[in-house]
Amino acid sequence: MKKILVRKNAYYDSVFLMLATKALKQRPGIKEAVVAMGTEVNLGLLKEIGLFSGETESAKPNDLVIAIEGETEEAVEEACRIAEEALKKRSHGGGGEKEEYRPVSLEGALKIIPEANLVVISVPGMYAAREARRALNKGLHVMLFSDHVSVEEEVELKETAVERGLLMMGPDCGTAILNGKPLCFANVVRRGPIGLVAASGSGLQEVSCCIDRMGGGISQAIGTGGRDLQDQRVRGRMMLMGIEALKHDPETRVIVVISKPPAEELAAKVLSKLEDTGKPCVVHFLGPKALGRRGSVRFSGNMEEAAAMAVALSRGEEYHRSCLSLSEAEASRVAEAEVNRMASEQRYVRGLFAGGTLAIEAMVLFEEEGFKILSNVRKEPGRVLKSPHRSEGHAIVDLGDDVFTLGRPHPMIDPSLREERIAKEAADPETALLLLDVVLGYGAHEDPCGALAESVSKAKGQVAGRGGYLSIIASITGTEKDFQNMAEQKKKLESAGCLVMPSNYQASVLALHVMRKVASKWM
Amino acid sequence: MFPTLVGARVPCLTGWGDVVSVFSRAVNIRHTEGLLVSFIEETRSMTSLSVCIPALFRKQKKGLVPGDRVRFDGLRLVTEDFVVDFLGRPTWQGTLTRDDIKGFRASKVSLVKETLLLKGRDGGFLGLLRRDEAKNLFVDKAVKVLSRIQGAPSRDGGLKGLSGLVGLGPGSTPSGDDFITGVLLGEETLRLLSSTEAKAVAGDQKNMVACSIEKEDLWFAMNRTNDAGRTLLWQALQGYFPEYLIEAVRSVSDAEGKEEIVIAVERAVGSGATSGTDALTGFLFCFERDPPGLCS
Repeated sequence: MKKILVRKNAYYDSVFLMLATKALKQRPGIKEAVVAMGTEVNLGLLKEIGLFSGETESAKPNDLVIAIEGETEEAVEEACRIAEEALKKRSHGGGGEKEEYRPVSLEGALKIIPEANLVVISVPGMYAAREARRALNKGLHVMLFSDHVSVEEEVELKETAVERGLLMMGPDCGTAILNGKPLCFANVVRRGPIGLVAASGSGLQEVSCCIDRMGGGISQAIGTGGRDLQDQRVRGRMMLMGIEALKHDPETRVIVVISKPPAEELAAKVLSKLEDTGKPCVVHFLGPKALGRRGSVRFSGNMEEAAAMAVALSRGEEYHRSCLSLSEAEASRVAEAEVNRMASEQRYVRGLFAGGTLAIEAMVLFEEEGFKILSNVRKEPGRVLKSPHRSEGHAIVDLGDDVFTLGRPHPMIDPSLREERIAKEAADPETALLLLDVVLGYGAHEDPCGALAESVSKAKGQVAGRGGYLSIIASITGTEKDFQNMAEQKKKLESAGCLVMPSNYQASVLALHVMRKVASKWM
Repeated sequence: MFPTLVGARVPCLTGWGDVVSVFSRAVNIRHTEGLLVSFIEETRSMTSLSVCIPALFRKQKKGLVPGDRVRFDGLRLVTEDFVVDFLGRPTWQGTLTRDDIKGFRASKVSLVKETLLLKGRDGGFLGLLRRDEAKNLFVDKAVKVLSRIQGAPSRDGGLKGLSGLVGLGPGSTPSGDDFITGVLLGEETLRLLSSTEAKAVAGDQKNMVACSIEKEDLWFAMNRTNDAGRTLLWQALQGYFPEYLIEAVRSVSDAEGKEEIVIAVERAVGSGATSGTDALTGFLFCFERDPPGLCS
């Protein structure tokens, strides 16, 4: 079944046309989709492959031709309807509708919403500090989504913010929830008494989603930007200010802090500040564990535990260790079944993550068990992947790293990068297990598991074709209220043969069970 | 209104134009000669047929909508609501100069190729470089066209074959047009290099200088593409290239290390959906000792 649409004198931008082509090709039941200008050579080509009709005879070089071939009439009709709708929305030319006015400066935006008190800035790095400075000078809180801002500029901006009593979240801050409003990449979570401050976007999403799943709720979630506690020069200014803000927030009864382990001096400042709030607090510093308690501050061993502790505290209950959905014995049985189907040469775990903190959490867990993990998020000699584009040995890759995202969308938005990488890993006969994270919520892809399911199935088929078995374990960071529909997403991954666990920590623990058994085969 | 920069070819146009598209950072006007003149917000998007006029995009409501008529009189561009005055405004040339390519070396070409393979965007002609890309019917066609060039007895015949790519491919500017622009940019780079340097870069003297007959063939083929493609080729055939490509060549030439080349390629690749990637693929085509090696 084939159908050709022709739009006369169509002027669309290339990025839109490319995304439209990709979206059509990915639709179920669609075999081929071509979106191209009606030039002589393009029309000739369409004729060669049989995607031609009477309508295309009249097409001119300035006309847009959409040619779709599908397995059924319904699939083609549905794809055509979606294409028409997208083109209509995007129409700019030939007497089409005028584009809705979108301000291109801070001043323009403030004219439209003069009462705004927070600005989200997402511009190329070289302009980001300047825009943030202007916003702070106007008395606005700032969420700086952009990265590539120097440490010196970050220090200057945060000093200004602190002086003026304003939040300066970022740079490279992708997640926040303020007064119930999710900003950038955030999930739809229940409101409640738990306030978060995090120097990690995906960490903040993971903890807030776990809290929601456990029945708790979020008062505020403040992002600080990854360097806030990592770089001595920034001195945790926004972390300290965030804690101070939560101290005075009447809705917040429990405070949670998430970060990579800060320098000792900064850690001490953060802990003192938390104690000073007089509220029960939970701290999760990724990396070597600092479990236990210091005054009103409890330390958690992983992000899911941080959520469980916070929920318990918010209810005035004591936290009882273990939130695992599988017992040790069950996990061991599942792992056994996975490993028994593998071929003898399969020996390595490959973690392909969209969330940087989720990658680190998995990596830390494996390293604590003695696995040597290579990664693009490491800096220590001997632990860095030679090329982030090619795995070797046990590898955990943060696909959201700059090296992958320059010139293309983040893998939370566009899953194609991970799809390509899954295919590469499946082609390596030594790959035993793929560990994946999927992040739902605002800003993320509309059907991330649907997009991944196809590449997962293909990868599994490829490995099965050479007599092996590819184990794939995943977690989904999201809530039932996220627009992607958590239950549906989970079902899609499970149908493709993935083992889906309720948190990144639990997925990593199960992966560890599998890899322990794989390792024992090689001993 | 006073523009901050005026493309060198804009004052050459007289007559009428129609606004055909209005985007948040660009307004395109179709001149009666079938060329697109663009009002743009950022200098990085300059071409010799653009007028950089940030003030237009800062207005609360835009003054132009698709269908509006515009008059060009050489000194000004007149719309119903405002006049854009070119007189005395800085002109943007859009040509490559010897200064731009003084540090261009053969070793840098291979680094450009290596980076493009890693950073280039799929969907257009990158498949000519990447052997493992999924099936792309436009790339398959381009491979056939380029294979004919391989078999061509002379460089003359080869560039005649290149016109088979005009209008080919996806995108509002078809990939083939971007690719050819890249080829012409490569030819221009070689022309500006001294013959010894050019030989070292291209590896093969016969690959170097394009002659008028070849360009004539491309001039004739221009009507086979759409307005955006025609506008790009019209400029490239006269030695005018978009700012992002000139900047890419200049940055590669000035680069002192691999990292700077990577940044230069990444910036170029960020232009359009695949335009930057396709143009750089064409640029590399000029420097291949064995052009079909691109896809073999």
